[in-house]
Amino acid sequence: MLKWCGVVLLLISSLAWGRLDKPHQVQELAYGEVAYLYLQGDYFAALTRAQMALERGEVDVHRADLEVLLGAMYSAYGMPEDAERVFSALLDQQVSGEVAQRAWIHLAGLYYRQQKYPRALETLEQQAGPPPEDLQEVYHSLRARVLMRLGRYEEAAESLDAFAANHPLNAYLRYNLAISWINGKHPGLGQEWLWELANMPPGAPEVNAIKDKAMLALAIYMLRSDQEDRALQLLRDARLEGPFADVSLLLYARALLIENQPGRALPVLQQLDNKSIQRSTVQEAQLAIPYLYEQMGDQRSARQAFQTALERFDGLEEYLLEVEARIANGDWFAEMVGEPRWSTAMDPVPPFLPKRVKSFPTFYEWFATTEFQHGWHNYHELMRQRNLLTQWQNTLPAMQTMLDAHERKHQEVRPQAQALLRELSQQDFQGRLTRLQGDYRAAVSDQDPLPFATDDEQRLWQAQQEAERKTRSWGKRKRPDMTAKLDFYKGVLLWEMQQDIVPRQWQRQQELNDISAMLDQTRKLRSRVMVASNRVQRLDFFRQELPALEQELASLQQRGERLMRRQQYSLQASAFEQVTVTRKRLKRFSAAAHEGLADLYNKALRNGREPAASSDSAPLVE
Amino acid sequence: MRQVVVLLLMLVASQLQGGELDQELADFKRDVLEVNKRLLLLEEELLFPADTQVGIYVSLDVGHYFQPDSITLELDGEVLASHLYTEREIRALKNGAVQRLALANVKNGEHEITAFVTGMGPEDREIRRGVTGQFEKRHGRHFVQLHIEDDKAKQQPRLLFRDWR
Repeated sequence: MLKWCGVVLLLISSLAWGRLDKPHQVQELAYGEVAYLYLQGDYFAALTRAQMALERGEVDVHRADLEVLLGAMYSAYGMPEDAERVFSALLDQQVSGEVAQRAWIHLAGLYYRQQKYPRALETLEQQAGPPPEDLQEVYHSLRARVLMRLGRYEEAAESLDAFAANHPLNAYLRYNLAISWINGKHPGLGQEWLWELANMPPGAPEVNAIKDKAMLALAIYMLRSDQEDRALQLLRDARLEGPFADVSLLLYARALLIENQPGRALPVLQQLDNKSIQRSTVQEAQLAIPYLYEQMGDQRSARQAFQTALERFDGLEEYLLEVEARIANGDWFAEMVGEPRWSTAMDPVPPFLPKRVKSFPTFYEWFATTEFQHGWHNYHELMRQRNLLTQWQNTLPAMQTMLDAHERKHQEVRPQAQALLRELSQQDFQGRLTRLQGDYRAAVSDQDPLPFATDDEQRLWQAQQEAERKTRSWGKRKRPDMTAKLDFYKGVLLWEMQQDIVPRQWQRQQELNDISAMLDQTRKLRSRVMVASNRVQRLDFFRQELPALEQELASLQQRGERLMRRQQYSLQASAFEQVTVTRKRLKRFSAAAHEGLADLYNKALRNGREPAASSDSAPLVE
Repeated sequence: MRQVVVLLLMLVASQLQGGELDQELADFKRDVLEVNKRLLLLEEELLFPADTQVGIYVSLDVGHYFQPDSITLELDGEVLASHLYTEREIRALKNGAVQRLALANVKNGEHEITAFVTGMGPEDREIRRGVTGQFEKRHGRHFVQLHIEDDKAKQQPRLLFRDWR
């Protein structure tokens, strides 16, 4: 059943991920990575990654989605306060209707886990409102379970109708509802539903377990309501494997006895009798067998069976005393835990299950309870976390070495980088470029072709200017045609330069742009060099962070150890309770066996015969 | 007798402290998460500084015509990572999640990345595909995403690299 609850919780938590057969919607890798870890049930890794993504600002588009996911994971990971804080903060912001709806449904799920059923229902109905298509299933499954907890079965049934008939959750919810009906107002309807569930096609272990449970519940109901023949028919087909095989056999034997068929009931009980006496069903069968012999008139076998029962009860009593002592000194728990294998720090595998130790049958029903699973899971999680802390503690020296290497490299490179930066500052590249750009703009504005002249043109222009200067100094001695010639050559030169002035300006503009781009690159490089040369602050931070983390790891290890011990004590106390319950039952059964045996002797005495108390081979009653 | 007394004390203590223990466990988890986050950030910064870091991610769109079994990734001709997929991982990918396959350090400039993917196609046919892409590593963290999507026309998978700067 716990596994089913897990499925339900996972479904509730995976609200944002009902995306099968739709185009890819993840737009930020960090969000997708968190989802990848989360969808595999590795909440610890997913939570850490989500916190890193939020701290480093790796999400923008999916920020609200990630926060919803974070809250859902906190809730599933047993951190309800953190979950509530995240959802409340999110719902106080301006978020889209869809995000808000998801957050409300998660919040309702959180209230459900906290057993605040009216609040969960109120949140679903008044805050979340009617769900969109992709949230229908999640919404209605949660609503149905809340309603069932509140005893509002009719409405829960209506909620169930929203599911597809073959959904595994449907079977689980229908079973619960059928049980509440069969014990309440609608036994007929409950019987009908249980019949449907018991006749589902076999499938996954969870489905088979529901089928078995439905069949047993139906059989019990039939036995209680004088439908023994139908109960017999049903139990004849019961599976002789799985967790409910013992109970099925016992019920079958009871049904046969009610139908007055002790001869057929005996082998069924004997089949149970071959199993461990630690099982409650076997204890019951052990006590039932002598009564069965007595009913069949076989007094001798009855006496023998009573004695066997008493011996086995005594043996079990002794064993339970031993188990109690082993629980008290911690050996029992250590044996149960065994030596867990680890692959990596926080791997969800290998599964952590109680070991099949000798006392396993005494506790196997308790092992299936939510209470045990909760405590056992907490213990396992603490183990995993302490294992992770140990791994980090072992890694710290290596991190210290890495940090030293970074520092050494930094100290080597830093002076060179600073020298380069100084040189760059002295060159004033940007100032020079700005001046060039100013000159260019002025030349373009004045339509001055000279700044764009080629080297040859520059030389000719210089020569022409020189000739003009010289002829001016000649005064009246200069020939008039000389001035005209010079003016002509000047005009020709200017005409040539002006002729393609636009491409020349464009080319110069391109050159200036290229220089500007190069300077941009230099600036970026310069800022990187500057950041790198100032990384000393970051390295200083690491230098302080490492010892602080070392201390925190040690302190967390101690806290973890204390918590593990407390969790262990809590489980041991519950185990002790289980043993006490078993011992009380055994006392009752022993008393009944003694009484039965005494009755046998009494009957024999009354019949005027000497009971063969001293000889096992002598007949008791003929 | 002493053991029984100890057990009785344990029993009382556990009943009194059940809720308190849950609260302390939640506080402990919160602190471990915080320390784990700080250590991971520190480790990443020391092992994969932003200037040289490149992260390779894998995503799967829809997956009607392909279900990956394994992937091998080569960066500049060297095998960088290999991975065998579990059913759970495939389900996560099909649901839109993104797998971080590898983190590596590379110098700034052009790099070549190649992925070889094997898996099952329609009618349980084994499919092998390879894809090569280039990316230019620049300043800051750099991400490359291998995206596997359905080619409806050919009923086959199509692999492509996306560059995230």
